[in-house]
Amino acid sequence: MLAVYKRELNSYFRNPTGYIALALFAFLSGFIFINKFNQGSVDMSAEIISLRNYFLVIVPVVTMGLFSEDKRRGTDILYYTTPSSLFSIVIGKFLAAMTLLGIMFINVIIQMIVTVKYGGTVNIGTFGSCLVYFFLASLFIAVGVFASALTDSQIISAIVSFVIIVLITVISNIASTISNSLASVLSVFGFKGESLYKFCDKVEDGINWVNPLTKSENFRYGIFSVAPLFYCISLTLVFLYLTYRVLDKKRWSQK
Amino acid sequence: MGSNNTGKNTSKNKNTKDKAVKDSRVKELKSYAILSVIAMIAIVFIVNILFDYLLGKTLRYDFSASGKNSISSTTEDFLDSLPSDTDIRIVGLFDKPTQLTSTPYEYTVGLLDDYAKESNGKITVEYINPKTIPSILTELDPSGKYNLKPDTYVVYYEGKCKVVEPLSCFDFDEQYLYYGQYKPIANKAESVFTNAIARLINGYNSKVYVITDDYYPHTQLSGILDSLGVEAIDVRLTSDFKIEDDCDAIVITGLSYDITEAQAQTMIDFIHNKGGSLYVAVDCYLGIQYPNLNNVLKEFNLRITDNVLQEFDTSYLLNANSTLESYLDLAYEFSEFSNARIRSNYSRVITTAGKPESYITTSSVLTSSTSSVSTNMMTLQDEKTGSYSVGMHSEYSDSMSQEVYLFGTLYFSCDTYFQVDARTNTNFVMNIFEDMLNINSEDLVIVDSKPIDDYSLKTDKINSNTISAMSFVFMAVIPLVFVIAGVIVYNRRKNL
Repeated sequence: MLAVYKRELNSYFRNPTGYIALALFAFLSGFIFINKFNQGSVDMSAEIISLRNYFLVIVPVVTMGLFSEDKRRGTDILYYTTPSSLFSIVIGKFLAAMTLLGIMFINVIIQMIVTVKYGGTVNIGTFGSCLVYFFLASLFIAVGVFASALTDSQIISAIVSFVIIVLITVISNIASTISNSLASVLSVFGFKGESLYKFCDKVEDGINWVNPLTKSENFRYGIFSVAPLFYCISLTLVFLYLTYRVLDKKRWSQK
Repeated sequence: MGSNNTGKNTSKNKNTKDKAVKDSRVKELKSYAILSVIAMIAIVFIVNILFDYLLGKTLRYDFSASGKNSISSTTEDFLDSLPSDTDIRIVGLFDKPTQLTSTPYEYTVGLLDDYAKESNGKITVEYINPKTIPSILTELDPSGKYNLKPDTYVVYYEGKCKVVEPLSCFDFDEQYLYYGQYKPIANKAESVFTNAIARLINGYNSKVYVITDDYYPHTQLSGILDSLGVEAIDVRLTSDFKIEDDCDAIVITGLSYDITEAQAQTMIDFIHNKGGSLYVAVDCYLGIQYPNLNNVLKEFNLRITDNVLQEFDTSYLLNANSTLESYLDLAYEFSEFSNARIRSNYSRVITTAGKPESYITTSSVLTSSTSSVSTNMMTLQDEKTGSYSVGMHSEYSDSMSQEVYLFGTLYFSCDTYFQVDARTNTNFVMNIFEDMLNINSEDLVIVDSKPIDDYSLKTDKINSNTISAMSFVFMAVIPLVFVIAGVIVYNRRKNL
């Protein structure tokens, strides 16, 4: 696993991908920071939580080549012949992508130092936000890793991970739409009144429950809750397991 | 030839058999893969649902700088003192907000969740929008007595309601306009909700009638009285003005006109026959004269003059350009009423009424420096330099209840001025009414306000050059460094 991790991490810095991702993140996070700095008030907790919106762009760039490049070149056969287990290869690549995201975060640490220097507040809530940032990052990276394992085209891998991340981001809107549609359909069948609204609200709440972004929203306001972190880690493991299963399929599939 | 055909058939059968075995193995592995994925997803969701249900609320911590999302030990102790079968509902008559930043709900949603968590089931918090579920209004208030409206909180206990407006959870600096809005300067959400619960459960200990007009709102004063367990009823002076038997004290604040002779007589009867107390506050704005009110105050040997205070001791001045804005000294016997200096502006001078009865004890509460001057607002004539009273206290020495506090300033009763120094004024007013109504503060649940989260930078260190430099570094230099490094790496490795 360590060998895979080192190889993958080095490969980020041996081609432009890693540098593009670092430049993109630096620019986007700098943009948020400067806007707040200009207003004379910097809430680092809220800013760090806001950075999750940029996973939409950053994560596909970082993860698109992880497995798809090896598949394209045909070097993915090494996964099945190496002494390391397939799962450790998945973990190694995942950790390499997480490390790159950690390196990007140095930019935010510099912003925190600047904030403190100019009399702003960086408190324990800020560090709580950092923690949830990395947990959300691990989830989205795992999504990207899974998307990369599905195809041998980096472009398609990037598109698939982008679509999945967009779907996760808009779960609240989807929930609301489903709830309203359900209310309309059920009212046609004669269901009316408060019980219908209560049922549709429950459906909407149920769908929203699976949204990791909704769960982590409270960190922005200084409320540190363990349940969202547990949920992010659980979903990360699900996507890593799905990645393993996709790769393992080649062993027994006759295609 | 026959044996060749037999050989070929045998080989063909063997291949078919091998293929069948392989196919069944593939099917088994495929089923195993699919089932393991489904099982894993199901286990993850079930475990998370259980975790959320059992530990979600327990493993929740308030990391905010001001502690806005958690209740204090005072409220915790109060909730612990309630019987275990207490059932209080806090209902937000709106959909639970999801975006809290820069809204009043930023300071209430998280806090109310903590109420529910720390109360061990005594408090439940719900968000029910009456536009989608109208029956909630009749459920909470069947008779319509409380006139419940959407976008408010309702604290409900055993058929009684207390309405909490989200904006009432803040102290505002009304003299400062910040982006077109009044600037919140303190968060008193916990104080408001805890007092609402305390009032619903314990009821009120005293009743005060507040006589005012619409010119000077006094929500701060009403809130303080509420936190002291005193029910404040707003009263307008009408031709048939009377004082109910359950009235313990009258508050007259910021009247922009004098009372009538009949109303004055009603008040005098209240003082002598019902042993009531008075709190009177006026200022010199509009230069109104109060001859009939002075007749009432004469019963306590006090008088509102037509003079405004001018302070000439620079150590007392709030504003070097104005002699009308100054600090006041607190008399020794009232020194416990405030730890901080009291301030006022446009103060009216208060004196005795020249009725020094032996049963009346009169003393100054707030005085100016010895370098101040009292100026008649009508004639603009100055009286001699000296120390003048802006607040006085008078009581009947043979009575526990008949007393009056008279102030020539609205700093302690009118919202606009109160906010200038809310913390000091709140403390001062609470002590006055505790004294006047014989309230034992140990019986009260007093919760301090919390500061508003402040993420401001020190603007003296920041100028346009700083901002330009920061913008250049974070949005140009750092990204460019990475881009250039990427280009260099690409050029070096493109021919490999």
